[in-house]
Amino acid sequence: MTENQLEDQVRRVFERQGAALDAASLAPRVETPQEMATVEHLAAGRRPRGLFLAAAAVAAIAVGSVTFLAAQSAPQEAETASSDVRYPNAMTQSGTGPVAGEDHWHHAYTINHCGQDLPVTDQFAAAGGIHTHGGGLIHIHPFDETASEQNATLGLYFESQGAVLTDDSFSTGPFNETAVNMSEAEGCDGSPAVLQLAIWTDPFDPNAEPIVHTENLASAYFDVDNAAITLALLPAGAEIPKPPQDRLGMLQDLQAEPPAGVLPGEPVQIQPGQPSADLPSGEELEGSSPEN
Amino acid sequence: MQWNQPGQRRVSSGVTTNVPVGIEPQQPELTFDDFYARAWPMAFKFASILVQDSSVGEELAQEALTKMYPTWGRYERPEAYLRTVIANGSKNWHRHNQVVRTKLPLLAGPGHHDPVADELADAIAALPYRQRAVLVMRYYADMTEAEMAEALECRPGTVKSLASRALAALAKEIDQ
Repeated sequence: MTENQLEDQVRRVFERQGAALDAASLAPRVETPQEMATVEHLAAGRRPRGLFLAAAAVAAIAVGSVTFLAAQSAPQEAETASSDVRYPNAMTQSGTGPVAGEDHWHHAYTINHCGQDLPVTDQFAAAGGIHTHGGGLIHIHPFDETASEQNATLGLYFESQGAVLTDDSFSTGPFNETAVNMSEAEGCDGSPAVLQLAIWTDPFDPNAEPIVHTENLASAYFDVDNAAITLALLPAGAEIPKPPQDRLGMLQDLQAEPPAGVLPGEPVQIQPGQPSADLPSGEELEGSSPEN
Repeated sequence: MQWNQPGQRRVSSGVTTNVPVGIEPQQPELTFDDFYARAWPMAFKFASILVQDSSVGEELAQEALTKMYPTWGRYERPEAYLRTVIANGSKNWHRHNQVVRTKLPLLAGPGHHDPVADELADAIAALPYRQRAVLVMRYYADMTEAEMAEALECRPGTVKSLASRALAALAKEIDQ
């Protein structure tokens, strides 16, 4: 990208942000004592969400404690878990989660209610750095410890939007254009259903099988980059759909980076459909762009 | 605060004023109320984009306008002065909050999604304050280098250097 192109892009980003702020700036506002109190909180760096996060941390500790106690009371199961599971709440069992100030990961996601994808929020939610610009992508970009490593949970992401995720129910938050409560108690059209979290670590492989969780959904933390996730309420055994193709396309766009050893800005040619030796094992560029 | 007397303001000295403004010669008089109404969208958005937070931006814009009110009538170019006051307020806010906060994303508009622009927005938000401020002033507020230097309390050469470093950092981020 040339400097002129970059400057144009920067202008466009600011125009976009300005346009997003337009609606809120239509009328000058008169501050109330309540608003001033909130501002004083902001100025003092005591953001109200701190309480929220503290509550989340307490909840996470509580869940962890319950899990630990349950493991203590079921020694056989605990033995199996300790030998197979190194990172109990990691979505893919791959590691300890994103590092603050270093990692900037992306997941395409969808919420599927009995076979129907719900509209995702356009709200740019801040939760210690986990956010979305809308469009069905989660940006896992922790800038402090409240949202890094094992704190980078799916529950935290939804919580920042006012949505509520438990092991058997999910309610969309106020920023979602459609208010939906889905729960195992209600099921799907009268049939029993299970709330599940499916993760595809290779979202562009059409044959890849997802890792599926049905427990500790809110405390499951992001532990890989470039994954696709679906939170679904579906009858047990039903196939869990991946996020829509346009979201996977956006994920793929972000993933397109020069292979190791290539200087930034240098053109890279990779034959469509051919695996690249320079890409990490198991990753291939698809032959055609995903449909939008 | 409430500006409920269009056309007239009672300033702290107790003098009621109708104030001429030199910024628009074809408009010989501009009351503070009119200026407030006209300048508010720019002030709010400029402040919000500078600090990357609409709540804080709103407060900084209000604060800047409040500061201008008692001395209304002394400004040849009130909008330029307003931008300088907002830039100063943003700088102070950042100074006090940089320990607890690296960035807060802004509200995004619904509809069109551009992943590259989103990445760039993130990279801009993560820039050190002065580098980001120069970009906002240059590419959003169309401020001159002299205005930017005044707002940032530095020399014009430093403005150039900050802009250059900011663009280099963004280019690196985009290339990655």
